[in-house]
Amino acid sequence: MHAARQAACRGNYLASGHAHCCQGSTSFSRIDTYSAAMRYSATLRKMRGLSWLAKRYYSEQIFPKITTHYSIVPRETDPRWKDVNMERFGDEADVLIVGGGPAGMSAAIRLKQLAQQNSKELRVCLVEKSAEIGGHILSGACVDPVALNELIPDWKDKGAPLNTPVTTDRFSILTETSRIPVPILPGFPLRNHGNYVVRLGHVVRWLGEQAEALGVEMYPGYAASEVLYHEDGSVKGVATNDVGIAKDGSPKDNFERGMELLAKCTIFAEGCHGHLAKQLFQKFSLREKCEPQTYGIGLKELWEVDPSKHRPGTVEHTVGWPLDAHTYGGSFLYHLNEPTPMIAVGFAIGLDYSNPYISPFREFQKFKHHPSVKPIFEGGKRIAYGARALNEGGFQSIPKLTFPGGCLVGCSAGFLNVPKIKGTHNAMKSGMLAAESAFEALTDENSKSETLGLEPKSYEDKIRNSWVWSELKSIRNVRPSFHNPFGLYGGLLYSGITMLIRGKEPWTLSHGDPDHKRLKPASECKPIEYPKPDGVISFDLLTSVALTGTNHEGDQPPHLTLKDDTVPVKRNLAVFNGPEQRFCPAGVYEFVPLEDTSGQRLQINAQNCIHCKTCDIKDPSQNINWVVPEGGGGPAYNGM
Amino acid sequence: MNPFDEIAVEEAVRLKEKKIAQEIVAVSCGPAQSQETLRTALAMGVDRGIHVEVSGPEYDTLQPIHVSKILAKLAQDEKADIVIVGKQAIDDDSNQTAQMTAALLDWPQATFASKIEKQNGELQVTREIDGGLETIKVKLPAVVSADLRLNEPRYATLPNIMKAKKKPIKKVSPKDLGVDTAARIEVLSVEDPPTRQAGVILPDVDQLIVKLKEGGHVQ
Repeated sequence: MHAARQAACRGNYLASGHAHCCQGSTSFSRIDTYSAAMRYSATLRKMRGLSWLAKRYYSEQIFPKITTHYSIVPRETDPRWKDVNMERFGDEADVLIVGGGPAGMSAAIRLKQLAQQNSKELRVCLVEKSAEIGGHILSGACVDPVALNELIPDWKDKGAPLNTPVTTDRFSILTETSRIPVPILPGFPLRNHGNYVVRLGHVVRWLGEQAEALGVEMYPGYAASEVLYHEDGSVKGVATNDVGIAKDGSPKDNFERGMELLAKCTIFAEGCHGHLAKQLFQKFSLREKCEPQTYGIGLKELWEVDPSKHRPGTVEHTVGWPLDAHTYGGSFLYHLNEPTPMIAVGFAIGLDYSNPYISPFREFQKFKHHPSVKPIFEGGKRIAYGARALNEGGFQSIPKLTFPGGCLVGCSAGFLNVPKIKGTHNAMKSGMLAAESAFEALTDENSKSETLGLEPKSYEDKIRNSWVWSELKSIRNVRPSFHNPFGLYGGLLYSGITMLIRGKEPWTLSHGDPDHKRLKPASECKPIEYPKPDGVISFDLLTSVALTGTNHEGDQPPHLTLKDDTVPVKRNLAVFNGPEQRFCPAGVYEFVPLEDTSGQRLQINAQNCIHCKTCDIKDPSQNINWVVPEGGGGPAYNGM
Repeated sequence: MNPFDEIAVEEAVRLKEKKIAQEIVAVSCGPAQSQETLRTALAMGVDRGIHVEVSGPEYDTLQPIHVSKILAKLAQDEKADIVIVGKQAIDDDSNQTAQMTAALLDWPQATFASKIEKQNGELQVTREIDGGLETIKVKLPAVVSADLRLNEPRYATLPNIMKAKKKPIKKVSPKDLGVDTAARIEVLSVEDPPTRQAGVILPDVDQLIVKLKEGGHVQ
């Protein structure tokens, strides 16, 4: 009953005059008792006009209520929350870092190093939503150690898990039956000499140990869910998520309010398409002068293969099949040097694809069956699976990086080098530069901040003067060059040229429309017939999701929130044939038939979510807003 | 933390809140990461922790008998009145530690507890058994093992985790307690269950009888 009332209110502002007509007690001042306010029929009787409209357009039967999260259904006017104590405990640090990935960890470590060098006391806190440090990290990954060499020069002695130096580097174009090798000339960013294949989750875990040894307070299992502001509008910190809210949005017996973590400077290192960064972009208009970010989705598996086929240090990349010439993407296959003969294999697809029938997961499974790729998996065993969105916007999409009270580092800002297929080194360097800048802001007695929250103003200049900027600038035209009539082939040709001349051409190509606007209606596109998984080399989605180890507390509001519960069926399904059921790499979104009428509804299996953020990016209606679930939930990647 | 142990810790904290217990000590046997588990327990309301450090190959072969001996020794040293544990660990599903600890201490045991009450210096415990619920009375000191429906554990909130950093954790080794951790059980093999064979649809009962006879299931 609450549901239909909600839906009715949202759609019928005319009839009611104000948005929260029947939720709160404002229009029913005579009704004192809690239960009376709850009685749906009493409410409807009083609003006769509304009732007719409610039944006509927003019958709960056709559009069942999906979203119960308090970011969409506010608690301030929800009668169930009337007597709940919403006070929060607070604690203050000097610097708070949101997110424990390479960028966040580098910032934490650098801050403590600077504090030690300058004999200053600095309280540095880091929050991370994953239950264990490294648990939500997923990357190829072939890492350029340049940033690590600067941060911790003796990383080898300290046991950093960079065990696989790259020995062989191959790049090929695949067709349905063959493989065409492409030479990697010296000077190409794709050349991996001097780099290491790593399991980034383990590297981050090691970075976490280094940070802890330096005295950083780390709190894994706690998700930052809300940005807190001073009265002057500057960021004062974050609040962690509340726990103990039931699936329908009501408080449970063990409801506990989150905690306020305050800091003089807050560094946001949430990774690609962070949900708090999304709010900061809006609040501080950080994206006014840059292009919208463009993204890709990367899926990855770890395999233990037949030792005779294992060549540690081999790095292979392909483009082409199974994608068509107008869909950007490609594969990676890295041989790791681990105690068991392990390889990391994966596939990335640009989220600017236009055919709503594309399923990135199934393209990945199809790729593994290519005649030149299949042999390596024969006799092997898949041991892990995961997926994550990644930034492809590069130079053109770098936003303003600082704001009163903090700054953005790593993939939250977006420093991934697409042709080099590397972002970790830039993320780490940005973390280090932000730390240096924050340290200056904190310790410089002469600088007077206009706001209570300190803005690390020198950070943006430091980035511009660093190799991060010059590197991204030199390859800025590679990714956008793929938007040409010849698709992949035009892009490869242009990319070859621009990389040879190190991006010295005077123009900067634009990415064009943001990813979510790129989908064509389903009626204009051809459905794709994907081969059935054979269970040996390719697998079905749900078996794969089980391997991620993902889990969430079942009794909590779904964290994939919809701004409007009716849009998935009314628009996404009707116009685009429900692309969310295909682009989600964890099977969260399903269109299931309604019980008694012929029609469908969206079912959200929030427990499957692996926090990849693709849905928030690619939803053509931008109706899905990913918010953070209870901390500790999500995938449990081990060295992905 | 093992979910059943979480329930046990929650019950201990509730006993303290009801003033039935005075002090709660949490014990964890394992490598350095066990300290994190102890911090969660401390954040839930436990007073102090004891970390029995067991790592590397010694940890790989740590078995319920060793844990029971460790808990028994600590219970005696700490002069505990109640030893409360989860009924089983979700990695090995052994369901042995509570029972063996009680035997070593020669204390009564109340396993699979779904309700615990104190009456006249004794514990009245409702146990979940196959046939339903059984209520028993045990004299103190006793060993109790927690089952799923005993309670719903509270969240370890971040402020409590921060406060827990100040609570003491004592580190000891099995040798200090006089416990020999040499393996008593050897794992011979671990296998996946056999893959499910596809079913066959038969047209009629006669065919079914033929198939059953062929398979040797029927004479």
